[in-house]
Amino acid sequence: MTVKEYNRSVQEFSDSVYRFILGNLKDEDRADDIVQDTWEKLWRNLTEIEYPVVRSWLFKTAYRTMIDIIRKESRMTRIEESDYHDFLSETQYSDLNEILHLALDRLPEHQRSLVLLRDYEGYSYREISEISGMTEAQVKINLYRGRVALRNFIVKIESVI
Amino acid sequence: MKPDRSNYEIWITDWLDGNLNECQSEELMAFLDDNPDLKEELKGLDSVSLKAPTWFLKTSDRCSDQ
Repeated sequence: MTVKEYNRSVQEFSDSVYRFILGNLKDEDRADDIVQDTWEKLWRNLTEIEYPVVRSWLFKTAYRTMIDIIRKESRMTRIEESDYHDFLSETQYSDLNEILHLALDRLPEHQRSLVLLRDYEGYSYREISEISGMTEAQVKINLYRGRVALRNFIVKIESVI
Repeated sequence: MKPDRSNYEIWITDWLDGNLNECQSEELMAFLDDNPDLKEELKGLDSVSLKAPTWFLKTSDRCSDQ
């Protein structure tokens, strides 16, 4: 990849990589750090990476950096019964997309990343497999389980309302 | 390969994406009829898809439009 292609990559993919990481972490500072780190890694490996594969390389690198950080921090959360009441006591949510995003925050990180890659970025299962290091079958299974958990969250919200 | 309890998530994902042919869809439906707990799990799943909200834009991008 040339320097010109590197600059083009920054222009084209910077926002989507940042959006993906921020969607996972909900922390602008850490998302900035991970995206910055990803661009530095790309710069260091410029001659080894071809432009046609740079988008998936960026997502893969950012994803793995993020997973390393999450695992170090042991930041694993799950949907718990008390959460539904906590949400309702604070605000009334009427928008399905908003409720889905609240539920998304409580998915295990590997499922949350897959949902974001699929729904936000429109990646194919094969591409998500390459980014996440899972097989395509594992991607489909985890996406399905993530969507079931999200649906269950909506149902519980509705039952409380 | 037929749908069973070890692979039904893959089948349902393909079905939701419209990637099963007619015969495969029938096989899946027959399997779900035999497994009502899994059929129940499927309800409302087609509406679970996220759209990126605007707050995911970086501050610099939001401000550039103003």
